[in-house]
Amino acid sequence: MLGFDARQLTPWMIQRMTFAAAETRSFERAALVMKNVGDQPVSAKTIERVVHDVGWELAERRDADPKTADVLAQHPESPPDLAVVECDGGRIRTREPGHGPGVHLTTEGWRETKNACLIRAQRKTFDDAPQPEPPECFRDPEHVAKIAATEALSVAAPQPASSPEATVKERPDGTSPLGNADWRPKRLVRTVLSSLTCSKYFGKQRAREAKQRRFFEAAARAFLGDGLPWNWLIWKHHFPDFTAILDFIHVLSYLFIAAKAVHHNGEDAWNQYLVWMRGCWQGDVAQVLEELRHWQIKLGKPQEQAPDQDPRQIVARTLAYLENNQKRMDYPEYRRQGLPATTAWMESLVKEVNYRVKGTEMFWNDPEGAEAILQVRAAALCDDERLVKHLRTRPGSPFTRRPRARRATVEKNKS
Amino acid sequence: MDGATAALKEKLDRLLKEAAQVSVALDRADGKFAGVPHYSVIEARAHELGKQLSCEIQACQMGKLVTGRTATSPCPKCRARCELKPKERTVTSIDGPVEVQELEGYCPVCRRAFFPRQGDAGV
Repeated sequence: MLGFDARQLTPWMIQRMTFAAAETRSFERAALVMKNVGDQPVSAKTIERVVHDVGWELAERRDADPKTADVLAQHPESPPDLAVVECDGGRIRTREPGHGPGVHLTTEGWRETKNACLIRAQRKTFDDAPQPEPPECFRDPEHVAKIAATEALSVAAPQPASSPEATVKERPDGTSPLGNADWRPKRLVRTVLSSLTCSKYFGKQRAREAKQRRFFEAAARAFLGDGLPWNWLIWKHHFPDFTAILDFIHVLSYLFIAAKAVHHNGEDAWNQYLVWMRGCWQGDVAQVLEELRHWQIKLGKPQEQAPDQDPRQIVARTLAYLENNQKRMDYPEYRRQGLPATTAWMESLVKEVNYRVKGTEMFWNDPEGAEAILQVRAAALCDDERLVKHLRTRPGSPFTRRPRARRATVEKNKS
Repeated sequence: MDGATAALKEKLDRLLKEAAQVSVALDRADGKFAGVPHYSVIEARAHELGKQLSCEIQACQMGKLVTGRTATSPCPKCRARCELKPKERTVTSIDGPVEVQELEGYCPVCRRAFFPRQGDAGV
């Protein structure tokens, strides 16, 4: 057997179809790419079926025993200097399978995806925490309002811009917005996991991947996430030796919204946010909590049915968030050790995953189609070229597909 | 590189050059290239020939692999020993459909045709 699968497509043909499907926004676009770039016309349906096959093969190899050669992740020669595990949830729209063409919504329609990136990184350590002042971008009103609207609650509205020219992306001298002494770790190799599975199994998937990549032997280990409880359950069960770090961007957005809730005047709210945000950045979370408690007393506790936008509710939610995560907020120490303070790597990865799986008119069969495309997309986003390696070594099938028309005729004759 | 390999490489180069010349002559003869064609036409014709050659090589390689291989192989499902016969099947490659020779078995127990595994029949 030469790697031919039941579809009678050669391995290179399968590879091109899989990559076209992984990198374009739909199977129809992939078919266009195949025709006009790959010079090989093939139907969107055939591409979809190939992705389904490959996706489930990848899922099997992802869950394979690490002692076998089937396992997808590669075992490096040496453990990483810094091993970073980040995770985040996403949402995709699903439909009920087995109803033919068209959208047949399940009762919910939306399903939660779980995404993780495992990064081999390089770091610098310091005697004292570098960059004691928060980055410029966290002090830019427009930028912060944008983060708060996207990262936390939809109640945040942009503040009136104090300086329209303020930008965080570039400086005239071309330096990083975080200053010249860039303490942030450098990404070397990223691998990606994405699945519809529950947090229990997703935790196991991550632990297997981390073990294979020798993350548990790394000199420094960090686990980052937002406040979602399942993140920290996975950390507790599978990565307890990793330094747990709460994403600073989420902290920032909670504080911004809370500051807006307690001050009617825009300038007062902004100054309040700056004080609290700087406090957290500099490791003075206890002081920030104290002030929030003071505001809760002043405003009163929220009533049971209080709306989300109620200032008392906002302050209570911020307090609970910070109290629950206080032990994961020692940011000066993380900077000193050269560990990341935000899930920026994860946020950018989620965008890359969503590009393929989330959008208008994107519905996935639940779970077959959805899980398959998530596996293929995740493998395509890995730096270790696992998708190419898998496609060039897949064993194929000893059988050919039975022609559908003949089978249908047989069924008809039987009846 | 030994003498035989070098001679084969030289022959391949010569044949490829000859094939290119014949292709150009053919396109001129059948009037496809009247005057100065758009380069895309030249490129497409050249690529077409490349694809044709690729399909020929794939078919030829498969023919060589099948010749002189084991005559029987166990069924992948029930492991019953089955007779193998060369069979032509069409596969879609990146250069187009290719008619390849492959050993195929038929299991009378499972009533299903199969392609033998690598270790079982050497292919």
